[in-house]
Amino acid sequence: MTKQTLPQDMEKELAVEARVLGSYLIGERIDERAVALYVKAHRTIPFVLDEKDQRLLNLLLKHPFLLGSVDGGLALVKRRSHLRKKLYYLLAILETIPRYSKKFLSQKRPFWAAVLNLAFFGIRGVMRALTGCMLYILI
Amino acid sequence: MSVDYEYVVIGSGPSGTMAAQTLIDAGRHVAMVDVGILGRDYEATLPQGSYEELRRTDPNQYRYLLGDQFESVDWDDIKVGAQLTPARKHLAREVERLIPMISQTFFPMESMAYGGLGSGWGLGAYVYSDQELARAGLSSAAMRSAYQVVCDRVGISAGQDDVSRYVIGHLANTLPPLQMDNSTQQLYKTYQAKRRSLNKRGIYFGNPAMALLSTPFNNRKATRYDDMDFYTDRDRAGYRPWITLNVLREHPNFTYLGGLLALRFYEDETSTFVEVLNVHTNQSRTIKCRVLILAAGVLGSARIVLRSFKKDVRQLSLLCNPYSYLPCLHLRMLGTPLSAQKTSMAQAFMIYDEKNAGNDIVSMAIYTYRSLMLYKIIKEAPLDFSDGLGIFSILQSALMIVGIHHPDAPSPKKYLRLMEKADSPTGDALFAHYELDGTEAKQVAQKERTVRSIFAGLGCYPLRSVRPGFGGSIHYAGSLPFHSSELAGTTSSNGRLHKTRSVFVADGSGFNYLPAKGVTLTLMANAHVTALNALAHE
Repeated sequence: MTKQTLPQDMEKELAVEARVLGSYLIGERIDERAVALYVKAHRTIPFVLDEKDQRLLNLLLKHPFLLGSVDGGLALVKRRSHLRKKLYYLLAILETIPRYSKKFLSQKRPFWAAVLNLAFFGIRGVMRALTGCMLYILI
Repeated sequence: MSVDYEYVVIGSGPSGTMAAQTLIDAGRHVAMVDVGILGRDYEATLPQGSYEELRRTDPNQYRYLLGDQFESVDWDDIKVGAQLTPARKHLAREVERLIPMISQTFFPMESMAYGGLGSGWGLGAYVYSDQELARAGLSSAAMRSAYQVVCDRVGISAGQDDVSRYVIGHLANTLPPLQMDNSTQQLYKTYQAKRRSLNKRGIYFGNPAMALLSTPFNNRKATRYDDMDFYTDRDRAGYRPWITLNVLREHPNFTYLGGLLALRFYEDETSTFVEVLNVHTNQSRTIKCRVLILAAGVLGSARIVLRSFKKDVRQLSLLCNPYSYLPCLHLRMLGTPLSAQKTSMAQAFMIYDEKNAGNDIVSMAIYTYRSLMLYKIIKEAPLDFSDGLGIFSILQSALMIVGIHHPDAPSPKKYLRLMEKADSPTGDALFAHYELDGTEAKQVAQKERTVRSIFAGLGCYPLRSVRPGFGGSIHYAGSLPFHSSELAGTTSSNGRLHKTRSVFVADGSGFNYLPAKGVTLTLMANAHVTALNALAHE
């Protein structure tokens, strides 16, 4: 892995991208440190989006509410998409930000609450994946 | 007779360092030939504190958790070495360039690191039974005493329970067992409630034997139970071969020759000559010694022997434990966080001894999941990352990973050859083919089905089997099998390579059978025995 410099415009675009993808992943505006690390990752790691992934990314930046569905759809039809790779690196970065540690470390909760939460995320995940698959075919 | 060195040991892994220590203790002059790649120093970036404390407080944790260059974030499919943390990533460095492997069926892990693969050892330290030693072609009398020598050198924590006879046998002076975390304790309670019927089926559960200190030992500190074992060797609580190597390097009789890759050897009437390649300059040179000890690991030693006997030996056999992971959900833990204080290593050990006869047992190392981080398992789920995070943050305390090892015996479908490869610095690559025959594959599948039902019966529900491919166990053996006749490409019972006068094999290349247990302790004990045999051969 070699460290590259990126044009300033591109770094600004990546920062915008990090904020949009980050708030989808953890449901809140993300820390500027996470944004900086996301940009840093792009200096080191190759992210090569094909034409369709790039179209999807442009769409998602304009309509972030579609992110869950597109991500879920890609998880089924194109698991190793570089669009998901971007999300994956950002997820790894967010896991190392102390402010979000509670979202990643296990918390004490009643058994029934754990089961209800699992059901919620499971059902939403399936719905997202199904709508995402349809979207992927249409776009 | 004028030689450069009395003894030359090739390789700095568990076998090489143990053999070298035995020779130094006997007053001999020893040189070690090793590539010796060092890791990036993440130790300085690592503050004091447990994994959970650091996760909650340290703003720079990405450095040692992901790596300064994000080198531990792996987007590819699961493969051998994918779980290496930044501090251990150097284990795989330069391997593809210096010792290429060609195979469609075998995906091993090799290392050119200082201390070899021992720097990534899971620390499970298990003795082979007399029955297993006999099948492997090892002397039980010699090995029993060698196991004790190694135990006294490295420190082994182990319990006295249902698996003791399988894991520590006759070992004395073991340290108290390591604490199990709350999830494993809960599973142990369930086992105890069903113990009688499980034992009848040949299922035994207990503490793993670990080269991780539960109490201080030989100027090393006990584990802090801080769940940082994958990220640091601070306090040297876990044994690593480099600990011995650093001590040996202070000894006046020991010379460390780093940056050198051993290529081949030849002998004349009085001496052995080793051709080595300087990996920085690509220049080769020859080192002259009286006795050569091969401890480059099974695949490394195979390369050296195939090059040295090019005309006489074209193919070598190969053994490797078939291995799979079984992620399970321990539902009783749902909503209960894991103990704050735990080690990251195996929490428990299980044996499946189908006929209760100690033959062809299957072993299972049981891990709970936390410090390898959540993002890695979220990637494996067919879900969007946001819902994956929601689900796995709840499931992680209930997640148990069972590593299943099966025994292995020789067959014509498992072999190694050397192939020409012009762009490799050595001009060649090792070709490997590994395939289970029909009976072996059936046995593995049948035993894994039984293992799944055992865990389901304990309230720990298997999700799916993950097979990282043959080679994933990182336990290799059998390329230069013990043989009573002077055949090229085989080893005599005292470890001398047949058709040589003074070349000894100190790694697992000689074993004729590979039991389903961690092999590292046996490699170290065998290296000690081989070094004693080399001394007796003088």
